[in-house]
Amino acid sequence: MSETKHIDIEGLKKGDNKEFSLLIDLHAEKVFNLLRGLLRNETEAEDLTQEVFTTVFLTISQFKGDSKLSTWIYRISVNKFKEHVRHRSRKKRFGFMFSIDTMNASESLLVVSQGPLEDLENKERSAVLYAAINQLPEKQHLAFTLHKIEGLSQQEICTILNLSITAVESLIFRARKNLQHKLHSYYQENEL
Amino acid sequence: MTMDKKEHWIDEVMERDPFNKKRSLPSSLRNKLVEIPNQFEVNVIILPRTQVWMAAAGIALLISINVFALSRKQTNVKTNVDNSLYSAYFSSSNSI
Repeated sequence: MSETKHIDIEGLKKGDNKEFSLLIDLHAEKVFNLLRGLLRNETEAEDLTQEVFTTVFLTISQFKGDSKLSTWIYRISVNKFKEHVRHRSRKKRFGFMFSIDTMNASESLLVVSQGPLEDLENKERSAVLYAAINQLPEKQHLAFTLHKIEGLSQQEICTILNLSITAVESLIFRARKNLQHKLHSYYQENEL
Repeated sequence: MTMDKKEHWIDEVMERDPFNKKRSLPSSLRNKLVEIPNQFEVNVIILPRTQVWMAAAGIALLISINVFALSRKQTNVKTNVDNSLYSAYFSSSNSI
């Protein structure tokens, strides 16, 4: 992410709209793409991006500058994602909400589809892989996704997740192992 | 399938997944984000200094009246207790 040198943090803390617009231009796209990758749903990613930047606006006075602004924003995004997932899993206890959520997931997969057979295969592979990723414990899921999708360094991940570097390494390693274990039957069925 | 191939399969599927391909920020979303500060705009009403002082003086007057009234009430209660003691003493001495 582009760094804070272009943004006047003090101006941002005073509520300067121009600085906030600059912040949006520098960081919103990355937050949106991170949430898209995590949620795999455009609408939810848009809603959550708005929530993230509302929180950024309301709590910018608490930013002490001991980490990069981008890392601080990523941390807010990850926390919002966690809240969202917990809220969604609570909602899923009710059959009605579950059916809506399932419908959204299948709709988002339909949006993805572009071509005939190859796209269908890709869609199926993605569905299998992400079903396995979603079953991973929360921290493994986040560490793995931030590392694989966002390409963040382990140092950045440990700042975002508030963990030590060894813990992050271990989480990514266990996530890989767990994925291979969960995908074992799929590998066998498809003779991979 | 070897571990490397399995890893490669995961990487390949992730690479092809459309949700992992970076997308530019939708303009409608950008507009909503830029509007966030306006949603929290606070209307500040600046009062004239005289009004502020008058309100402060009013509050101070109210507090002092209450304190004065309470202290007066306490003195009255004490006097009543003293009077009842005197009357009890003298009524008993009269009977003797």
